[in-house]
Amino acid sequence: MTDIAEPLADVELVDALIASPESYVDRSYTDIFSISDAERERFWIESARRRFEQLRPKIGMLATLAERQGIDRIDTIDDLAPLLFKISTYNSYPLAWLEKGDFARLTRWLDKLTAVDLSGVDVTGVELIEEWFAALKRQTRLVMSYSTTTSGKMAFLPRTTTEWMLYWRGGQWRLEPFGEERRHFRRLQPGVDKIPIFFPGPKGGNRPFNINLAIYEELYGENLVQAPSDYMDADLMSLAGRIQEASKKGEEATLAINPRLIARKDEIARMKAEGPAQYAAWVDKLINGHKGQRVWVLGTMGSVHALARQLLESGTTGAFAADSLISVGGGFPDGVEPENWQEQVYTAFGIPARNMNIDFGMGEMMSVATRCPHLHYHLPPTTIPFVLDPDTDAVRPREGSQTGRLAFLDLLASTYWGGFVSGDLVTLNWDPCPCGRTGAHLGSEIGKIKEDGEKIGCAGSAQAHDDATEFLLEN
Amino acid sequence: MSANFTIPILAQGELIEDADTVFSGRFGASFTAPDPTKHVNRLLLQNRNILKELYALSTDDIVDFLVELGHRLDLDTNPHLKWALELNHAFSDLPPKLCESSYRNLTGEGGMLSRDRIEAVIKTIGREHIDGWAEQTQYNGRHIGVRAIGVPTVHVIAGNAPGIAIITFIRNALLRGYALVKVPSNELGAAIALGKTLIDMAPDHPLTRTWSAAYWRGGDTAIEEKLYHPKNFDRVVAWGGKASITHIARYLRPGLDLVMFDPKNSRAFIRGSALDDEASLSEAAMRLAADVGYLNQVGCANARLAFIECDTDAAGLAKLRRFGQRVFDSIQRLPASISTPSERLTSDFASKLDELSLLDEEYELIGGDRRGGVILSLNGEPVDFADDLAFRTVNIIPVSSFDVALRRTTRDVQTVGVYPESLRDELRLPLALHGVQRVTSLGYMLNYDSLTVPHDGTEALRRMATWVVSEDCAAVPELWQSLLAEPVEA
Repeated sequence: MTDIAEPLADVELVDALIASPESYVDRSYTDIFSISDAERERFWIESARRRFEQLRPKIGMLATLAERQGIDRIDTIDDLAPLLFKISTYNSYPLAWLEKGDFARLTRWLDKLTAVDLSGVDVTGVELIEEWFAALKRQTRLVMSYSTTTSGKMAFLPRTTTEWMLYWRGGQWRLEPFGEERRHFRRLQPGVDKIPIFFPGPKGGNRPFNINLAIYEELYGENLVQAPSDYMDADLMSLAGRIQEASKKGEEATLAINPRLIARKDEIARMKAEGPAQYAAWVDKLINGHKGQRVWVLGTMGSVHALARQLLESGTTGAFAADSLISVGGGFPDGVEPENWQEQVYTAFGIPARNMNIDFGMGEMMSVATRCPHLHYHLPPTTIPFVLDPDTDAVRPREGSQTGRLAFLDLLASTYWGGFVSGDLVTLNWDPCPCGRTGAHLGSEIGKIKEDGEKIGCAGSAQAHDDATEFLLEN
Repeated sequence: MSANFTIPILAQGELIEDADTVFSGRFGASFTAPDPTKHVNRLLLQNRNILKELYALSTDDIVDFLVELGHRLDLDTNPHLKWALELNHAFSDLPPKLCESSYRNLTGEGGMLSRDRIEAVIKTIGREHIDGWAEQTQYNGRHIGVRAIGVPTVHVIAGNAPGIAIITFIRNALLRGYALVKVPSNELGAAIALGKTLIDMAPDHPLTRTWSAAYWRGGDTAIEEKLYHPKNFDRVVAWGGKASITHIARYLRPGLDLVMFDPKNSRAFIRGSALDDEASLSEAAMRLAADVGYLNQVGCANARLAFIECDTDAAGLAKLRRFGQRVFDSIQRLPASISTPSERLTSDFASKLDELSLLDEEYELIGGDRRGGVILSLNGEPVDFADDLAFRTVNIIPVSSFDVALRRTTRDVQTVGVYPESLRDELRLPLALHGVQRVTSLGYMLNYDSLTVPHDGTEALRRMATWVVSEDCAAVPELWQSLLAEPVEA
C-alpha cells in the first residue's frame, strides 16, 4: 500500500481533510471509517462552510437559493438543507433549446451551474448533445455527464477532469480492507495489475460509469475493457426520455427531432442489427477467451445476474480465477432482488463471495457506499447525508433510524455545488453499525420515491435506449 | 407518525368504523381506515333489484330530497361537515380559510342543492328521460320509450374541492344509480360527511342506500380487480390524475365503460389594446388576477397561462412588465374568502421558480413566493412547467398574433377566458377546433357551473346514463307475419 499516507490521530486527520477533502483517498479506508462522530461533524461544518463560500460567488443558482432562503453562512449542518439542489435544477433548460439545437444558450445556462468559466466556449456548428459534450471537452476542463429522467429532459452534470479522476480514485479506495475485514482487498496498481474488465453494457459515452471505464483504460492499459456494445449515445438517451413523456400524452407524432439525428438513422439501424450478435460474441469471449484468468466484472446487479444465468444455462461454472473481482450496484430493474442471485453469480464466475463488492451510488455522488457484512451501505464522511420527509421535504433528525428521501452534500465537488435532493427512498441509521465503521449507514432496501419526474436509474436505461432506437427507425 | 384521523367506510347506508389500517396521507399526516379488502363485498350491489326502489320515487321526490339535504349541509350546524373540514386542514392543498369558504358555498342561494339549480341540471338530460319512458311514435309507426337509467358506477373523484362529492351525489340521485365513491386523499371527508348526513336524515331511504364511499390506495389491485369488473360495475367515472387513469385503464374491457374528466388546464387570451390605456389595463389585470387566484389556483379552470398580443421590443416589454406588476398587485387584493397567500409552497415548485434565475434571458419573475407570482416570457415561449403552475402563479406570454397561441392549444385546455368580450366571437370556433371546451369572459373562468352546462366537452349526465329503449311494435309489419300467413306444407 505504497500510496497511503501514514496514519494520523483523529484530530490531525480531520484537520488534513478540512484542508483538502479530496485527500481522503490518500488515507486508509480503515482510518477514514474510524473518525469519531464529533470530529466528523467538525469536518462537515468546516468543509461545507468553505465550499459554500468558495462556490456561492461563482455559481449563480447557489447565490439565488441562498438569497431566497436568507442563508449567509454555514454554521450548522441544518443550514445546508435548504441549499440542496433538486435534480431538476440540472434539467431546468427549456426543451426547445435541444430541439432547435441552441447550444450557445445551453452553454450560457450551464455557466451558471459551474465554477468553470464557459464564457469563451465556441459552439459554432454544434447541433447535437454529443457534439456539445465534445466541444466542452475540447475547450474547457469539463467532461459532461448526464442522467435521464422520465419527465423527458436530460439532466446535465458538469464535472472537471480533476473531479472525474477523484471519482475514479474513490472507486479504487473502496477496494481496501477495513481492519481485519476484507484483508485480501487492495487497490489495483497501474502497471502491475492488468485485469480485463467485463462490463455488460455500452462501453463508451458520458454516463459516469462510461467515464470511469475510459479512465481505467487510460491508466491501466488500452482495450482492457470488454463490453458488448461500443457507445451509449446521449442524443438517443435524450430522445428516449422525450418519447416516454410524449407517449404518456399521446404526442409521439409531434416530437421535433433534430435532422442531424435523423441523418444517423442508418448507422443506428446497423448498431441495432448488430447488437445481439455482438452480445453473443462478447459472452463467447468472456467464457472462452479468459478461462481461469483474473478478471473484474462490473455492472448493475441485474445485468451481472443476467450474465451469470446465461453462463449457467450454457453449462459454464467457475469461469474465472478465484482472485477475480465483482463490483455491482444499481439494483434490479423491478427493484426486487431475486432469491439466490448472489450464489448464482459466485457459481457461474467461480469467484468467492468475499471478492464481491456491492455498492450504492449515483452519478451525482462522487463516492460510493459499500455494503458491509451486516448489509448496510456506508458512505464515506465526504458525503453529508440528509433524510427528508418525502412529502414535506422537512429534514429528519440526525439520530436513530430515519426513513425518507435521501439528500446529500458531496464535499468532493469543487467546481459545482454538490448538494442534491435525490429520488431515492432510504432508511438511514445514525446508530453505530456492528461492522465497526463509524458514521451513519443506509439499509439495504433502497426504493424510488414515486413521482412524475422519477429518475430512470441505471437499471432501467438500457430499455429506454432501445425504445429510442425503435422510435427513430420507425419515423 | 401519529394517526389522528379515522375515515370510516360508508357501505350502502351503513358505517363501517373498525379502522385497523394506517395509511400515510399527504403532508406527512396519516389516518386510519378499515382495511378495504375486508369489506369490499359490502361495497358491491349484491342484487340489482335494490335499485327498483328508486323507481318508486318521482323526480319531484328526488328534487325535494336533494333540497332538504341542502338545508342540512350547513357548516354551522352539521357536525359531519365540521369533521370533514378538520380533515381538510391536515390533508388539503387549500389554506384553512379557503377550505371553510368552499364548505360554506355548498348551500344557500344558488348553491348546488338549491331547487333552481337542480331543475337546471335536469334540463340537461330532459326531465322526460328520467321521470319515465319518454314516449314517441317513430317515422315507421313504431312506438318507443327512451329512458336514462343509472347503473352501478365507481366514481374516482378529484379532491380539489368538496363540491365534487356533491356533484356526484346529485348526478347519481337524478339517474337513480348506485354510486361508489373512491375517496380522494386530499379530500377525505366530503363524501363520507355527506353519507353520514343522509343517514341522520333518512337512514332507510333508497337514495341513502345507493351511496357508498371508501378510501383505498389507488392502484391497490386486491380491491381494484374486483371493482373495475363488469360483473360488479358498469361504469367508472374518473376525474383527473394521469396516475389514476393509468390504473383504471388496465381494467378496461367490453362491459366496463370509462367516463373521463381528465386533467385540464386553462388560459387567458388578451387583446393587445388592453395595455393601451389605464382603465382597460387595470380591468384586464383585475379580471386575470381573479382567474389566477380564485381558490388559490387548485382548479382546472384557473388561468395558468395568459397570451397577450404584444411586441417583444423594448417598448413592448415595458408595457408587459407594467401589466405583469398590475396582475401581481391585483392578486394581493383578492379577498381572503376566495384567495389567500399560500401556507405551503412545495419545495419542488419553489425550486422551479429559483431555476428561472438560470433562464434570465427568457423569463422575469415578479413575486414568486407565498404571495403568488407572475412569470413574464420575454421571448414568447411559455415555461416548460406551464401545466404545473400553482400557488397563484401565472405565466404571461407575449404573442405577435393569436395564431401562435392557438398552435400551443390542445384538448388539454378546458377554459379560455377572453378580453375584451369581442374577442370571443372571433376565437371561439378556432379555439373549439383546437380542442378547447369552454370559452368565457376573462374574470369568469372559475365561475363554471359544470352541472348545468357541458362539462369538459361532455354532456355529463347523459354520458353517465345507460340509455334504454322500450319498443312497442304492434303496428309494425314484419317478416314473421307474412310467414305465419303462408300455409305450411305437409
